[in-house]
Parts: sequence; C-alpha cells; structure tokens
Amino acid sequence: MRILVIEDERDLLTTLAQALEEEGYAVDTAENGEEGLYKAESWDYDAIVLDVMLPKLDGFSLLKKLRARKRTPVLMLTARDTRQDRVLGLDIGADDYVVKPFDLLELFARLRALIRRAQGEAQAKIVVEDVQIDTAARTVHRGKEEITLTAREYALLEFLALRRGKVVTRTMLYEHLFNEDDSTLSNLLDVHVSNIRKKLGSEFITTRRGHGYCIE
Amino acid sequence: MFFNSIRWRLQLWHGALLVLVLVGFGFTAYHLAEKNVLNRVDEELRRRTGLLGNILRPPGRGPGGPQGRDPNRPGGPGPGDRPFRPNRPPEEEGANPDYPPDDGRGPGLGEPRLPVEATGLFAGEFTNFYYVVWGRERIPISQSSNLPPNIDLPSKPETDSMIARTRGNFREMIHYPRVGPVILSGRSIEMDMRNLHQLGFFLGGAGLIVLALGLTGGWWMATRVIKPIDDISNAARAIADGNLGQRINVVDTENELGRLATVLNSTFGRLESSFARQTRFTADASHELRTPLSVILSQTQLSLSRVRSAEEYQATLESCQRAGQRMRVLIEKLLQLARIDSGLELQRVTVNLADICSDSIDLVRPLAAEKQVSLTSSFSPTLVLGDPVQISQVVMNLLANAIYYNNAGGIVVLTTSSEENFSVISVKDTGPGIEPEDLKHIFERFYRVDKSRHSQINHTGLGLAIVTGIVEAHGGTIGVQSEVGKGSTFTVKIPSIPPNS
Repeated sequence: MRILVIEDERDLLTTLAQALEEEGYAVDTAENGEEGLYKAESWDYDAIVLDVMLPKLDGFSLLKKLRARKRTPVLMLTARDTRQDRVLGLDIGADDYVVKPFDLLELFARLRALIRRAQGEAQAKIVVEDVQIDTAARTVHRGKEEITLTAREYALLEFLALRRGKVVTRTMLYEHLFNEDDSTLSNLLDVHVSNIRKKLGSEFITTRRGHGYCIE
Repeated sequence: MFFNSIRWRLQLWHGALLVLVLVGFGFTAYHLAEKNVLNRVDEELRRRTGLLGNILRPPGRGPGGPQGRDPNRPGGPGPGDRPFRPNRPPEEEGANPDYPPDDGRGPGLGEPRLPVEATGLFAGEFTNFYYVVWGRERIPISQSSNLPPNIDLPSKPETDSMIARTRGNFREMIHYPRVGPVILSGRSIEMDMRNLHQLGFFLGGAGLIVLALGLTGGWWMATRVIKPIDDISNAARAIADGNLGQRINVVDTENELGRLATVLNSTFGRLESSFARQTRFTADASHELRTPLSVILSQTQLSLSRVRSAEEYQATLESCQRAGQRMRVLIEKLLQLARIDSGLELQRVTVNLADICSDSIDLVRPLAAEKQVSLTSSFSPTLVLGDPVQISQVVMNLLANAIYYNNAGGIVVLTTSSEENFSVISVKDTGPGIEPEDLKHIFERFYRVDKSRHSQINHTGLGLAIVTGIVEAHGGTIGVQSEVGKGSTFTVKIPSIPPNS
C-alpha cells in the first residue's frame, strides 16, 4: 500500500512517514500543496493524508483540484476543528477527517478502513480458502497456524487479496509497494512472491505470464 | 409594575392632562353659561326695576332714579314711551297710605299707584316675575300677587345703588334710591338653573366621551411610540442570548428612535465583528498550538511503540524539544498580545529613539551577518515619552523581519527622524517586497506572507500584531510601503516631546 503524506510541519511529516513505513506502507511525502497535488495526480496512491494549512496551495483547494481527476481516498489532517471546516472538508471530497493532535493508532485504523473500503471490502478480515488475513492486526493464519511474513511480503499479500480474482500487474505492484525513494530492483517482486508461495503454498498466488499476479 | 412601564406612565400623564383640560374647559363653560343666564335675568330685572321706579316717581325727580325715558337705556321698549295714566292696581288697595301715590302732584305723598303697563310686566305671560315696593320704615307698600314668601329687605347701603342677589331659586334686583321707595323685582330662575344643570350634565358626558377617545388615541400613540423601543429591546435580548447576527429592523431612520436604532445596529455590528475576530484568533491560536503538540504526541507514540536505537531516541527528543520551544514562544507572544489587548502598562520616561535604535542594530548584527545582509543607519536624535523596553522590542522585531525577509547581499536601512509632532522610525529593506494582497492583512494576527516558513520556531505570525499593539499603546501609528521586487519600508510614528518642554 502506498500512501502520500502532505504536511508542511517537517517534524510531523517525518514522524508520520516513519510511523506509516513501520506499519508496512510505502510512503511518499510532500511539504507544500503544489508538490502534493503534483504527486497525488502522478501516482495512484492507496490513500492520501492531507493537511489543511499548507503553503502555496491549501488542503481544500488541493482536494478540489484532485477530485476533478481522481478518486484516491483522502484523509484530512488538520488543527482546525470547527464544524464549518469539517463539513467543508467532507463536502468537497475528503473521505475522513482527523483533528490534530491525533492518536497514531487511530490514524492507522482510519487509513486501513479507507483503503479497504476503496477496494469494496467492508471487513477487516479477508479469507481465501484456509488462509485468513487480518488487515487490522496485520497477521496471516493458515488454519490455526500463524504465518510470519515480512512487512513487504504482507503488503504484497494484502494488496493482492484486496483485489481477489483480479490480475494485478507488476507495474501496479511496484507502484503500490515501493515509495519514490526505493531503488526498485526488477527481481525484487519475484523474490517476495516466491517467499509467500513457500509459506502459503505454491498455488496461493498464480502467475499470469505477461500480465501479472492474481489470488484466485 | 404598571408604573414601571413607559407606556402606562405616558398614558397616565396623558390621561391626567386630558382630565385637567376637560375639567377646566367644562368648568369655564359652565361658569360662563351661568354668568350669561344671570346677566340676562339681571338685565330683565333691572329694566323692570327701573321701570317700576319711573312709574313710582315722576321723571327727573331723583338724580339716582332710573331714567325710564332715557333713550340710552337698554331694555327694549318700555311703557315710558308714551304717557301713562297711573292706575291703582287692585292688589294695591289698602297699601301703605304713608307712601304717597305718584300722581304728579307731589313727591312722597299718598298711596303708590302703579300703572297697568307696570303691573302688566309682572303678570300674565311674565308670571315668574314678581315685585315688591317698600316705603318708609321698610313697610311694603306694593307687591305682586306671586311674591314668594319670606322676602326680607336687606340693609340699605349708603348710596343710590342697584343690588342683585340670588336667594334660593330666585334672582332679585333691589333698587335703593337716595330717596323714595325701595323697589325689589325678582323672578324664579328654577328653569334657568335646570337648563344650566342639563348643560352641566351634557358637558360632563361630552367630557367623558372625549376622555375615552383621548385615552384610546393616547394608548394607540403610546403603542406606536413604544413599538420601536420594544423592537430594540427584543433585538438586544436576542443578542444577549447569543444571536449576534440579530439587528433592529429600522423603518424610519430620521426620527430619534430610528437614529438610536441605527447607532445600536452599528454597535451590534462592531460587537459581532469583534466577537468574530476573537473567535478566529482563538481558533488560530489553538491551531498554532496543536501543530507542535501533534509533533510531540506522535513522535513519542511512535518512539515508544518499539525499542529504538539511542540515535532514534535522540532524534525524537530533539524534535520534541523544537516543538516545545515553538509552543513556548507562541505562548509568550499570546500572553504579550493578551496584555496589549487588556491595556499595556507602559513605563513613561523620556526616550531618545536614536539611542534605542543604535542599541537594537548592534543586537541584530550577528543575524544580519548570518543572512549576509548589510545594515545601514542614520539617526537624528528625537525624544518621545515611552517605554524603552517595549520600543526596543518594536525596533528589534522590524529589524529581524527586514533581515529575515531579505535577499542575500541585501541592505537594511534603519533611520530615526523628527516630523511635525512625531518621532519617526523607519526600517527599509531590499527584500522581495510584499504583494498588495498580503499587504492588506500584514498587521493581522497569525497572518503570514510566507506560509512556507510556517514551522520556524520564531515565526508565529504574531510579531507585527504585537508591534502594532505596542505602537498604538504609545499613541503612535505604524505603516508599510512595499514594492514587489524592490523591498518594503515600515514606518513607525510616535508623538514626540516638543523640544522646548
């Protein structure tokens, strides 16, 4: 899952980016509205965390411009907690609204819910045959047995599981699992996929030659 | 409670005034009518008395006798216009023989003989007239048959006079000639009095109707007058209840209440905008405090979520310290603004602005060197009455801004000078200048021209608001001129001490 954080307070931005990375997300950052809008329009993020008070282009204007082109889930993050601000934010297309100071765990939970719902999944648990993926706890069970995955492996699994039955291209996977700073080695994906197959069974992820991967 | 209501008080005064006027008018009208009636009756009686006197005495006999033949005498045609034959009326038979009849032969001798014309005046159609004639020794010598009982002769005054009196329902006119018989004629005024009383009742009734109409009209008028006051009080109550957008509906702006309502509306407007400003300020302040607070909370939460390396903990602590310092600076400035808002307590001493500016410029030299900005100054001594600490804060703040928002290699020029009545501090920079759009808001709280400097510790967006507050507390003004690409000049003017004092 790849997330864009747009926040002008640098300390807060690095904290958020680090925290989200530790949660297994690929994170891009932007320190002002213009840069944020450019990135938001250039990539298909799974979610955007957007501050309202931004230099160059404020959060509301950014959201308005973005909504003309994209449906990326947006979580507004702001110190402005008046009702008018919240209503305005939600009305112009924000999917959620979190007021500063916020709790990181709550922020994560809201982001998970946003990403899940964007894929049409209402539940936090995804069951594929005997494999259960708990997107809230970020755990994977096969039967009763818990399977240990690396953060990246888990992200890959969750990404495919949320798009169950659909073929996911390698490009899409690259775009959603790595952030802009990751040096993307071409065979990295194959390594992750083969590791997941070792842990969950070789048939769990099928390869469509020339197309991509899929969880049936 | 009624008397606390203006409407009731107005009504009461109005009613009292109306009653007073009506009673005065009614009383006067009644009195005039009564006087009129009595005058008329008196005139009739006087004519008859005079006539009787003429009949009883030969013409020209007494100087005080009423001259019945006098053409100037009012009273209509009297029987004296033609000669008369004195006849003795039947009722005068056996009258006082001491009193001589007026037969033209001699004065004061024999029985009085009244002519028919005279007695006719008191009989027939004039039945309510009566008369009596007293001779010497106050003995009645002649009287009419319809004379009411218990008539007494009042004591005689010294001179020839005609006296009118009211006795019960009778009005009487008594003529005391200097010599000769005393003549009284009178009539019942019962009918006249009854008519007069009817007039009184009518006046009373009409007065009551007018009073009722007047009170109704007064009530209506008071209601109309009170209506705008009620509107004002309703609007004021709504505002007191928190509905600050409420205004008085002013229909007529020209009258006194309309003007009052207009004044109140503009007051309410200023109140509302002041509240709105306060609300926005509070929202801004909480926003400014929340951002560093979020840094502290999320940093610590993240750090504590798992075991970290010493470097990571150090980075977290440094970040928290920055946030904490930012909050401290912000809180200090907020407190300073609050002090300014509640009336800054200023030390008032004679201060030379040149000294303050020269001290300040030394303090900012390190910052200028760091930013590669050169400082130039030109000070002419100018004295003001003020607080040196606060004024130096103004200068420092403006200087810091001028250096901070300057280009590398730029110049900052600080000057002091004297203008008519004012001491002037001017801070000129060669920075990028300020857009006209920003220039309008530059002295507003939390307004930042360069929003990307948001997270800088010492840039709270309150500096110029504080500077403005201090300058205004000194009775001065602050202004700015700016040209995009060329730079800005901030000018502070503080009332100066006249050189001769």
